[in-house]
Amino acid sequence: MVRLIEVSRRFGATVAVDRISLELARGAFLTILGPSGCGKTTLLRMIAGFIAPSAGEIVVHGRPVADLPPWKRSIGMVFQRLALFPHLTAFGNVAYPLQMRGFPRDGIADRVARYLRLVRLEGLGGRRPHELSGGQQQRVAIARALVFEPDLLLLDEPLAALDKKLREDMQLEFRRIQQELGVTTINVTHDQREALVMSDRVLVMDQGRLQQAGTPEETYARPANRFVAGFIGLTNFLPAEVVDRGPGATRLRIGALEITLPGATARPAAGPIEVALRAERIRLLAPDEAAEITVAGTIAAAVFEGDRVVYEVGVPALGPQTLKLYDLDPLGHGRRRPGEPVRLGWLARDLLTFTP
Amino acid sequence: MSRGWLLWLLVGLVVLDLAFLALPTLVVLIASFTPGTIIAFPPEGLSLRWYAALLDRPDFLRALWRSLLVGLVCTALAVPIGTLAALALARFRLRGGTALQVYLLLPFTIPLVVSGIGLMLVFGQLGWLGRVWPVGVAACVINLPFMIWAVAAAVNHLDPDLENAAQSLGAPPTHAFVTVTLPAVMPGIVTGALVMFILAVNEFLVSLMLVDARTVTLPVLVYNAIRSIITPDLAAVSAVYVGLALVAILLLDRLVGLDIFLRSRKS
Ligand SMILES: Nc1ncnc2c1ncn2[C@@H]1O[C@H](COP(=O)(O)OP(=O)(O)O)[C@@H](O)[C@H]1O
Ligand SMILES: [Mg+2]
Repeated sequence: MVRLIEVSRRFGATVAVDRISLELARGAFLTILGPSGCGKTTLLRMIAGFIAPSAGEIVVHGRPVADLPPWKRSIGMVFQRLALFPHLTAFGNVAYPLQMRGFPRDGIADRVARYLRLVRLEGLGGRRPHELSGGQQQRVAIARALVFEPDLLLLDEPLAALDKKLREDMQLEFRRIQQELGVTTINVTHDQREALVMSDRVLVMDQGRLQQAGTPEETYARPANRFVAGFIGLTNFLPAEVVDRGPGATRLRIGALEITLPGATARPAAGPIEVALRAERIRLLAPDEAAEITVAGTIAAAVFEGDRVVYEVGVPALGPQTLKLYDLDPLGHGRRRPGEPVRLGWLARDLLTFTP
Repeated sequence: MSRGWLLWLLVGLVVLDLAFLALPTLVVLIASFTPGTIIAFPPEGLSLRWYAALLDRPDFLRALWRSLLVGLVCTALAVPIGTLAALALARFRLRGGTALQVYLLLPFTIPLVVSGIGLMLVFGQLGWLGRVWPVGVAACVINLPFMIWAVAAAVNHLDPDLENAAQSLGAPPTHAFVTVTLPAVMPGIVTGALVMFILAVNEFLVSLMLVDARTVTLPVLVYNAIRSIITPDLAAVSAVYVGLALVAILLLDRLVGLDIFLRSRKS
């Protein structure tokens, strides 16, 4: 089990990591998600032992690691730029931790071969890093970080530099290897899709602070604040106002539209608030189709993305701002042109409310 | 049509350029095989007479040996100092960083005579004038920026997390340095060492100011010789230099690969 207790790190006046606490069960896969510069790398470097926390404590498998230098911690790390040893072959790179950690010599070759097989690099052990493709280099880095069976694996956005297709393949590949070995893993990324696809748990960070921790589903369905709602998924934000707060129901006004929220989801204080509505919760209605909430609008822009069309729709009743939504079956009913009138519908419970 | 024309012009210029670069060397090389007693091009025939004559001249052999010694002293000093300086320069924001960068530009800005006079004064105080090994020290002081450049270029290619990676894989810092950093910058070290060696063996002006009649190095010997009669053995000496340079280039190709000079930086 890995525990961080109120870990902080400052660089001069900037607080790169601000009182982050987390707990991670043995064998779990946690992804820390946040925009570039939010302190992800700094957090991983503290766990790996390259820099010391300004405050707080890090415990790996019941043992505080503050006094342990990196080479005495049992932590494998895959670096943002991989940091493969250029003068060693793939085999040499993977054998390195075994040599440094004093594994019996005659067992090393077998062990390395086994891990090269695990990452599907059999036959390529003799190549130097520059003779391997980007994806193959990733695999060497993964094998090198895992071959000594560390207590904890850290991944610092190793997939960020790959092109989309390869990145998505490698995400599944990482997950497969992680589950095969059952190694406790902390992955770091600014790619929300990667976080949702790969992890058991997601921790959202912004400006060094923890924003939300939960399963991918929770994080997506019930964002804890406006930042999380905006960072994950394509989300529309609309200014609104609480008109009436009855027992069990809240009346909101969004532009010219009045909506009653069922009590369970209503939590705004009286006064101005912000309403979030995810793009995929809005439906393009057929002429005779009904929905709990319907509005009329005009297509302002349409972007064809192959498996879907992203529409921007102007809705006069909601004010000047357009709504973004998806049509997930563009081949089924044809693409609408800008200027075409449409009707949109959604459910009251899909509206998330935040106090600004 | 006009592109083809341009291409031919370009090819022509390159050939001309290479010819002018290589021509003097070729002329001297060919002239050194003359059997006659005066240096001439084209030679009157082909013989190794003047090479044999060189072997019979102890003053030449001793000067050659002194020059090689100068090269060895210079390289032995430059490799550790230049390597550490380049690594420090890359790794830390040094307090004297700017001063060091100015020093790195010195070879382009200060004429050798000036450096030579400075060294002469200092070495004179130390009582080092007229000895051979101080010439190696001088060559090292003057040419060290080349060594630092060679290593710094290699260091800049490296991932800054290389040593962190080694440490997290189980290597304490000194181990990480010896097993990862040093081998990873070795191409730069080898390149720098060979450059320093060749520069030191060729060092003329500063040698001239630091040696006396009993300790002349090969370039000084050649200089003294051309002030009297120019005989074909000088061409043979030149051929020895060309030979040394070729050996250095072959070594470089073997150990590092010449393409590092032609290849642009990889991302
Ligand atoms: N060594 C350092 N010195 C000064 N500031 C740093 C240092 N490392 C990181 N920072 C600052 O800390 C913040 C977080 O950086 P980082 O952890 O690299 O973010 P991320 O990995 O999420 O992109 C940034 O504002 C960055 O400028
Ligand atoms: Mg980072």
